[in-house]
Amino acid sequence: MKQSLLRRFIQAVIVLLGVALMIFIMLRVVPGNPVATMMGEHADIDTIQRMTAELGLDQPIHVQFARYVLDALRGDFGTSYSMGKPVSQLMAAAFGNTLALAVAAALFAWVVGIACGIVAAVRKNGLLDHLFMGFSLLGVSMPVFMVAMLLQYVFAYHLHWLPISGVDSWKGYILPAIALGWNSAGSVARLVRSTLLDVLQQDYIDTARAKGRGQPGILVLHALRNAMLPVMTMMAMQLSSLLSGAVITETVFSINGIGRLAVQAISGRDIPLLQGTALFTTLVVVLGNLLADSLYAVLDPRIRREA
Amino acid sequence: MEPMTLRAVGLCAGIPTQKGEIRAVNDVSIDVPAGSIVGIVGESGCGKSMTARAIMGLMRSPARMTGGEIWLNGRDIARLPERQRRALRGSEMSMIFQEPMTSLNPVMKVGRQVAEAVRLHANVSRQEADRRAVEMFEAVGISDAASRARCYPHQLSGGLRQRVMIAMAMVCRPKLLIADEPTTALDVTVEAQILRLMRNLCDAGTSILLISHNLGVIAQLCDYVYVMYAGRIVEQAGVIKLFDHPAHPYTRGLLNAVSSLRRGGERLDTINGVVPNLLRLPEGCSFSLRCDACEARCAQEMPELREIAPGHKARCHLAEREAWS
Amino acid sequence: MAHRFANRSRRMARQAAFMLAALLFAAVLPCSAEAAEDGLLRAAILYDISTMDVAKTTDNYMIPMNVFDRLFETRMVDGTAQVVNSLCEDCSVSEDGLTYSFTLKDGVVFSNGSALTASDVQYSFERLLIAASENTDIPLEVVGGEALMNGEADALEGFNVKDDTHFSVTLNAPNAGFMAELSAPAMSIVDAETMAQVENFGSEPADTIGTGPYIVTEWVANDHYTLVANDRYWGEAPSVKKVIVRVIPDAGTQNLMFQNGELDIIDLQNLDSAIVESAYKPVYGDRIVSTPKVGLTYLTFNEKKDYLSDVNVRRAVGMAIDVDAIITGIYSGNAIREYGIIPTGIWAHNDALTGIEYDPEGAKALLREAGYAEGEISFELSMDSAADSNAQLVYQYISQFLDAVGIKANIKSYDHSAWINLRMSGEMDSFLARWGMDYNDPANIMFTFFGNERNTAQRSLNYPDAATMARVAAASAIVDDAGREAEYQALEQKIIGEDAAWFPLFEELHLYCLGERVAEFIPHWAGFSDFYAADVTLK
Repeated sequence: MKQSLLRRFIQAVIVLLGVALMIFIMLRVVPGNPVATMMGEHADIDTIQRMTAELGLDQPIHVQFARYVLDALRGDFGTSYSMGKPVSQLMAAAFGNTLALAVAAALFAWVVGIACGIVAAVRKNGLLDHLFMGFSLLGVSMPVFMVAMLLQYVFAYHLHWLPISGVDSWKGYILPAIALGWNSAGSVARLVRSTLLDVLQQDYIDTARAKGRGQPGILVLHALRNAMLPVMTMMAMQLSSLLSGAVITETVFSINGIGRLAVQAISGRDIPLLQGTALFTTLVVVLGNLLADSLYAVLDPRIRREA
Repeated sequence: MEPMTLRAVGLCAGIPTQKGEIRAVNDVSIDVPAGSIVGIVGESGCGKSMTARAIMGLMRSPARMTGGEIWLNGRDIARLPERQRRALRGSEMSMIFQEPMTSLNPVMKVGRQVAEAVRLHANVSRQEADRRAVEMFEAVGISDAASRARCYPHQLSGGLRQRVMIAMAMVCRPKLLIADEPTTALDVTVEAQILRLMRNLCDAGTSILLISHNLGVIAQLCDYVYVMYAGRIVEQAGVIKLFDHPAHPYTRGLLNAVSSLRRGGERLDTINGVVPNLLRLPEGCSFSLRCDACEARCAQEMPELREIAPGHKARCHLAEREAWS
Repeated sequence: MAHRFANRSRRMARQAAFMLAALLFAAVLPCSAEAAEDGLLRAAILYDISTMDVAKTTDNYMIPMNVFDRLFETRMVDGTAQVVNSLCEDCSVSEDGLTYSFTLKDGVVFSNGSALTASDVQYSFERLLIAASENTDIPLEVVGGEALMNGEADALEGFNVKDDTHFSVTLNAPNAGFMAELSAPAMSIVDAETMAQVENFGSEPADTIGTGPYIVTEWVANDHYTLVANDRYWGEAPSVKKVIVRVIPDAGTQNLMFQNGELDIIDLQNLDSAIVESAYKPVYGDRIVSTPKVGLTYLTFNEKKDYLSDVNVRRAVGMAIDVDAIITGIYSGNAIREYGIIPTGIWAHNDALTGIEYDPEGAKALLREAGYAEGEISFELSMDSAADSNAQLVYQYISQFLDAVGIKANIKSYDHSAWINLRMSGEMDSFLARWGMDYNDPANIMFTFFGNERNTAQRSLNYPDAATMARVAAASAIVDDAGREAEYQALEQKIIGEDAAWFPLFEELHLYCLGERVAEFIPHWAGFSDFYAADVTLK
């Protein structure tokens, strides 16, 4: 176990370095001068050349990369061109919001998704099953921006229950969390339902019934834990995707998160910010996978021993 | 009259489908006297497993019980509400299954799974339940019981797992154990051990209803045997009588198939044809289509289960009433 | 036993359900929209600013405009934009138009309490040449500007400080628009003492020290920034005591917030024009403020390219485009037709100018006469993918209008950076863009596009007439306003009327809608989205 963790850690570092290098090269071979983009319509060629030199972008690429890695190791990811602030500071602020939003969305998605999935499986082909699966189909197929705008219109603008935008208080997180988690809730519900139905057909469920367990005990003690194995993997992946930012939700509800920062970086050709957000996203995905694997090992003894 | 642990009368169970109800268990009556081992034998799909499940109350939807009485220790349990029925499972009647690989919860320690049965029926602490589970492990011949109890199913061999299943079934000392093909998935040496263990359980006072397609197992273990075909009992007799004087052509076919194997004959005696579709049974005797001795009335009229000798019944127009001997 | 357990679990389930319901209820309790405090103005922007330092931006002017002052300001006086004194008490120009002598207002202090002196002004000029700056044009006009920028000098030679309140500035060449230029946000006056102490000026509110009516108290990136009235301000105290500008990146959200009373002013330019027409114009009526967005939307012709080098083709292109249809079809009429280079709102603008009118048959005839076969002419219309949706529609319209007279104009969309690169290389066939005026002087647009060979190349115009360009450059130096106006209008006639070197389309109108708490709002003279908060009066 320890050894495999170490191996995973080394893999993660290699992946991060590789991604850093790829982003670094890609950003410098795509057409378009980042400085010209940054300076806008009114800038002339002299000014652009002066700024290019000032930012060190005229140096050979290996020199730039070495400098970047060395700085990054000291926690310095450079200064954003488009925001004029240190990338680390911008990302720290944005990550706080993204984290809160992701946790809220994940909580919503998982609580609702798992509960609906269980009810749907237990009441298979019943009214609730059709209702929940209908909702989850809507969740999976409705685009996030539509859900977000609907929620915003109905609950914030029309009913005045919750704020239209901003996260000044915890109430501000409710609508964005639902908008963002809606989709995940749908897929979790569907997966919980199908795996649970599958697990309920397993022989060990009969065994549990044969020893006198009632339906609730069977669900909780025997079926759920087995059914959660594939669901866990899905949830870990959802969490890492939620943590890498949610552009649309962040935009509609005016939340300063990683997603918006990344889009800003891309459209503004903001190299330091783009590198920072891309590296961060990679890190989150790598950690998410690591988490999924470890959780699987905790929940499934068959894997624990083999690992 | 000897006390009956289990007396099932006129059991009917079926599976509703769009083409009509599949009558998988049709008017089946079974007696399990206290302290005896009773077998049900038949091909796959003959309804023997469903009979067992009907008795346990473990029908898998959409299959359901449609009629009959189940007397357990002198009480009809067929119409009890599910809550009370559940309280009987594991405490008064238990069941073990064919596939020990999949019948245990893969993510739970086996000791816990046995202790769970204890805690469901006795108001004891977790420690006490664990202790009783280990005790039971020893009783079913699991060596190094305490450490085995902390294993997960995938860490145990098939034989050990079936012993765990038996321990789980027996831990609350039920009067009746239903064993559905308990040794089918095991190799021969392990099978012998498990059968010996079941014999011992019986000697200790547990009545056993053994479901098997394996006549060898039945012959070794059972006192009395029911033969099922297409959802019905076609013959029933004491084990020696059944093997010596089979009255139903189907039973004879089964026995011939086995003995031709034993003899190592040039040719395997088999029963002609295939098991009939339960939705399209012939009008008369269900076996008529495959029967060598089939007569005109066999195809038209369903024979009754007639007593042809004391304790020996057969469902065949042609079965000779045996002389009193 | 089993019974008891079941009862207990049912009871627990009921309790849990009750608690959940209570929680949900608490969560959805009506949260009444907080009433805005007195003197607070709430505004929204789509994208956050990138800096508070004017040297590093050519468009994030809201904070510089309100926190700093300049020697002059351009303000709307009686409906026209006029250059008025600000930090400058008095200014006189020498006979030759080269030297400006200034007297600073007395008793002006920065928001940190230190007094404004002539050396602060000198520092503000010089730093635009020393620091990484995007605004070098104006200080470069001062004698010695080039030398300072190239590191050959350590002071701006033409800037002479006499005492704390008196100084003079000498230019390389006379420039009648100089005072207007000094009112541009770029010429904000900073505190030399503060600047000596701070690193990365423009990122920390505490360092952003000016003499203006407001101080900036916080800037949370991508979230909001706050301006608060400056107690030490030398001028009249503004009606608005506090401004919160929130970054609301979604226009739909801005719309809901305004309608919900959470914004006191909304920039309607951010909204879809269909929403403005249907949900604002009929509902808010006189609370909608409209002002020209002083600038010009134009179509360029690259004279180095085939076909476009022929004046007949350029003229025919102009004749083929129905600008009025574009204004009504795309802009719902919120634009003014333009015929020249100097747009409405700039002092030398020629109201009487008429230019190429829509005449598709005439265009076809002209092309035939010039010897082109139908369908022979084709060129690329290069579109910046970051252009707003209206501009993208204009491209479509133009392409169709040209198709109707047999000219193939293929729209090709480029990533923003790639587009700028191509344009700067001088190789772009033709593109549509808008130039916003930085200050109220025609040179700002004339010189940028037609001032010299380099300028016209980096806009992919490649205007070949060196003599005309020399006249454009020289026109800045004409001290006599009337004479200067006449020269610019003559140049317009030459470049547009004779050469059809580019095709002016229109000037957009900028619409705002005011919330119930706002009594009056005077937009920026050039129709910027940024505004002087002191020009807002609350009820």
